[in-house]
Amino acid sequence: MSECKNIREQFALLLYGELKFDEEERIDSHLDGCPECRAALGRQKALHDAVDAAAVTPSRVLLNRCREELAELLPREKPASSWTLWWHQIGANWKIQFLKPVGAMALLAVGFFAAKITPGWNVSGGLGSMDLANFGGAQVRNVATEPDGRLRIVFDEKRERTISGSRDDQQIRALLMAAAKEATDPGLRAQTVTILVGDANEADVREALAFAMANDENTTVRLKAMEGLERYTNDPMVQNALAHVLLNDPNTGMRTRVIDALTGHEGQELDRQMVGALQELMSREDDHDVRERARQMLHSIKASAETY
Amino acid sequence: MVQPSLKRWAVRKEGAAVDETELIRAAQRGDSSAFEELVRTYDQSVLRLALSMLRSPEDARDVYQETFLRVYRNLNQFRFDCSFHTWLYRIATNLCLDQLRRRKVRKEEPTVVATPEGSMDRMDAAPETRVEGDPQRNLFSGQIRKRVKEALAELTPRERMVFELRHYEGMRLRKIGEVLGTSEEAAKNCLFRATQKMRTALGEFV
Repeated sequence: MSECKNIREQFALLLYGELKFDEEERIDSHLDGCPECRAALGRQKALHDAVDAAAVTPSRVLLNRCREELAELLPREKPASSWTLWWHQIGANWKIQFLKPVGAMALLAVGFFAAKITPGWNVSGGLGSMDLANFGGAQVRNVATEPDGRLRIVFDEKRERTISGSRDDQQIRALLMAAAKEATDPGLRAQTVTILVGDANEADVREALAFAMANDENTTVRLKAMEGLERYTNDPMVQNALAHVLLNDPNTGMRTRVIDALTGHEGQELDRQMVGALQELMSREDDHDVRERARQMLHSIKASAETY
Repeated sequence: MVQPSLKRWAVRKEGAAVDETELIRAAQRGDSSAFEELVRTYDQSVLRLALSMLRSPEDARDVYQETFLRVYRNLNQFRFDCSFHTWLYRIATNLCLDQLRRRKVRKEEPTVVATPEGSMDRMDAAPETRVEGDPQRNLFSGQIRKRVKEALAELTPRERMVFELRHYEGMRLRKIGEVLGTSEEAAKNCLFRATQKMRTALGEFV
């Protein structure tokens, strides 16, 4: 029984993947002949899941507030380099990027000309000046598909305004892409991403989807974005984003799906970064199934499962 | 080659540090957009850690500001002796631990405050919205969250920090040791104690 006690004390470290090979072996061989300890391990896994459920996610409001305060505080700092001057110069840009709701009135005043002289968040080049700044710091409230296939988007400007048009309309596209990234309602982001998936053959849309897949805090949104990108895994930009998801997404299902997406295409060519990501994954992935899929993937492309 | 617009996901953690080195060097030369990119890469994790450790949005905001202000002030002294992620987390974790120690001395800022409607965790003041909404599941999740919060509150600041970094941040013990300025073995012992306490506190619940 004291052996069982010793074994069970190691379960947490086992689940974190922090035991040495010999220690894991000792536990595995004990578990083979001890149903009570196997049940205890199941309880320990349940405990891990319960702790997962208590994960804290900062609200977007809090994050934006922090960014706003930091943007205000930094110019007061006096670093040794020429930071202060630089920071003053981009102060407005910071606000445009992170504080659209707060800066809406100011943006209205500065208007079109300010948008031209300050780079917005959209760096794809595909949209030109068609980000939300052109709509006075607009907040997209609703996106709906009309019976004829046109899209109707409602967004706050100084007052609510509705525009309608087809998906390839430049304004519609710009608003959709902005909403996919900026909307505070995760349901709206999911809906927008779903619409954008239909245009994933366009590079700028793929970039918006890749951003959502890699950064959105909502799993549903990230998953929908990934669904839209699965046919474009030969695109280096998409592989770059998938590599990020593979190494950083907290959701096991998302990480599994990345590997499935990569293995699902015959003749798939992986760039060096993706191979590196898979190898990195092998050294830090806690989930056995994901690790095994990554190992098989590396094996199939004749790459080592380790980094040297 | 990574396109500029993709940097934000290419540098999120040390797994893809190629662009990060370029970003840091650019920031050290005074490139403000590079610094902004660094902030955006890590600030959500720093805020999450601070919020989780301190259970107070106000204190988490203070830690967030102070962390990035210190990074800003001292970036030119960063010599790549460790990863930027480790350096940043060293600053953030020290600030969190300092705050917890000060709180312990002053016995200030209780996590759970009394309100006319009953006790309320101040962290719940700005909850994150979710798409899904199964009331029963939410109720159960709420109960679990409450019990886990209580159990976490019983840990010492160091145990709690190690637990947070391992469980929620997914950081390896070796790196936790680097961040906290201790050995991997000490971090392991700390995690072991934390998980034992958590199991004792939550054992009947799961």
